[in-house]
Amino acid sequence: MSFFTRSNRRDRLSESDFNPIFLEYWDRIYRVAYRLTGDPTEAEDLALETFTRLWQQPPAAAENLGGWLYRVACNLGYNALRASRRREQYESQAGSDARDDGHEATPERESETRMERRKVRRVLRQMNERQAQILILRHAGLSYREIAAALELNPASIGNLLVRAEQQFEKLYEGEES
Amino acid sequence: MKHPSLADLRMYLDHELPPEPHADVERHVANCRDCAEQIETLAARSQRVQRRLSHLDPDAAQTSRPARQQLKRLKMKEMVPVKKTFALPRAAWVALTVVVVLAVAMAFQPVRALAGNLLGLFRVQQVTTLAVDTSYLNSLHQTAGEAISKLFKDSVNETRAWQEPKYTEDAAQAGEWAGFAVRELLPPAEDTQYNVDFGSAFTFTVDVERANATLEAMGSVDLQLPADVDGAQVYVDVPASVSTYMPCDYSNEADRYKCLNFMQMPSPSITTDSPVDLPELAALGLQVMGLGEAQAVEMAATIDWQSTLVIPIPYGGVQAQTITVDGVSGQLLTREIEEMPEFALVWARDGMLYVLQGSGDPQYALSLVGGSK
Repeated sequence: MSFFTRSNRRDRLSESDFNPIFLEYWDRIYRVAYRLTGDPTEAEDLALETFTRLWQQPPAAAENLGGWLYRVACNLGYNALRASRRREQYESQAGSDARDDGHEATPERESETRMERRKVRRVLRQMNERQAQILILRHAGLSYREIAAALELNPASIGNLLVRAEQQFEKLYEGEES
Repeated sequence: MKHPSLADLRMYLDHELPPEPHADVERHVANCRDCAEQIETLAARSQRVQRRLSHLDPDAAQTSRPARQQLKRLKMKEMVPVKKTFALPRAAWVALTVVVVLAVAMAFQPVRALAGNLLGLFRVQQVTTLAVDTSYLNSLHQTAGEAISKLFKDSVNETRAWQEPKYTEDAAQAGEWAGFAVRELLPPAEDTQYNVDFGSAFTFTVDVERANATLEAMGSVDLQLPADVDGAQVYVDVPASVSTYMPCDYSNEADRYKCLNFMQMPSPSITTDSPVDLPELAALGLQVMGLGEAQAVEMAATIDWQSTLVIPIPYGGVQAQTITVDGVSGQLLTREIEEMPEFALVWARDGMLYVLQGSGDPQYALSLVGGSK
């Protein structure tokens, strides 16, 4: 990320430029943020942070702002994913404390879904960041060209990278089974 | 027979090949069992991974509020300096907003408003922090957020319209726009940018029925507002601010300590047309934030609420430390995120509020502002 690089003068985004981009991309960026954080509040804050950076420090190249937004959201989201490990430890400790206190357990089905989500996030966290981002963006429905633009990669390499990312995901996922 | 590469097979599967190569692969696969099986393997794995990833998708209860509302929120966020630097969890800001609203409403006395006699209710002279447990607010965010937005929806009136921020490389010009002389704390450099945000001013009317519904939604069923504060007028003014961005290369780790953002603004103010009992309001607000009654009353009595900006710090999120900076007592806030530690220095002096934020070690920043831990 090079938000603070100031070697080139940048044209700031005016409100009339910024607002339509915000309205067009908000939902998609929120969903990316949600998948990585798992929390609506955090996802909204993270998505807002993404757009705030666009407004305050837009990239030098005005084209492909969508790809830029995806990249920033992925970076912020992945950082949050890594940071959440500590929170998870705190939560599972709190959970076990709650059980000790005799609090009622949550409905079984709901806790199974939650466990599955945690597992998938754990797997993503263990993956190489680039691979995790490719999977997330592909799942978000981006084409190879869009993924390449967002992550600054050669479009011709996406196929290969995707195959490897999926292999890695499965390997780690199966490893979590035990 | 030349087999397509794994990458090509994958691109074929995803319809990412141009028409001719796509047709070539298709013809080949029709006649090559190995490649056909390979495609099936790729497809099956891709579907499994997608199915697992879709567990992360937000369901109906987890979609975000509408984009237009979020856009408004972003613009409002820009006005509150600490929020801009740290994006505190929304629950903490909900708590702070509620404290402000309740602080004004709760201790209203049924006196006749004196025309033209606005009493200063809140003007920042110092800054402190308060550790709060907002985990219960997080879990209630949906209901509480809705209730709070209902509380404000019809009763907020903008008295000074939103104005687009302006940018300049001239400190004097920035000061002219903002209405105060810009203080230069960062070392002078070519390319330094000054961002002037024009802030906002608005009034809101207290609606007791909605406020009580908000408190109920947040689980505070015992705390209710008296009827006689209904219709009270509150005036909030967030003045223009100037943010100075130091030129630096963030991607260069050795250079990153120089990537500082210095924000300065006259203190935000909240005024009303009737006298209020602040410690009583504050005690209520602290109870809303989860403190027990006795503790809330005690804490409320020790803080000068009329002149202190209290920043709520949720447990486990941000670390806060009282420091000396610029000759006064201020706060060093640090956020521990594995990849990028960040900090913000927050202090108030002579009626101005200052925030200096950056990444990594705050040592350099502290040296610029006469700071010491």
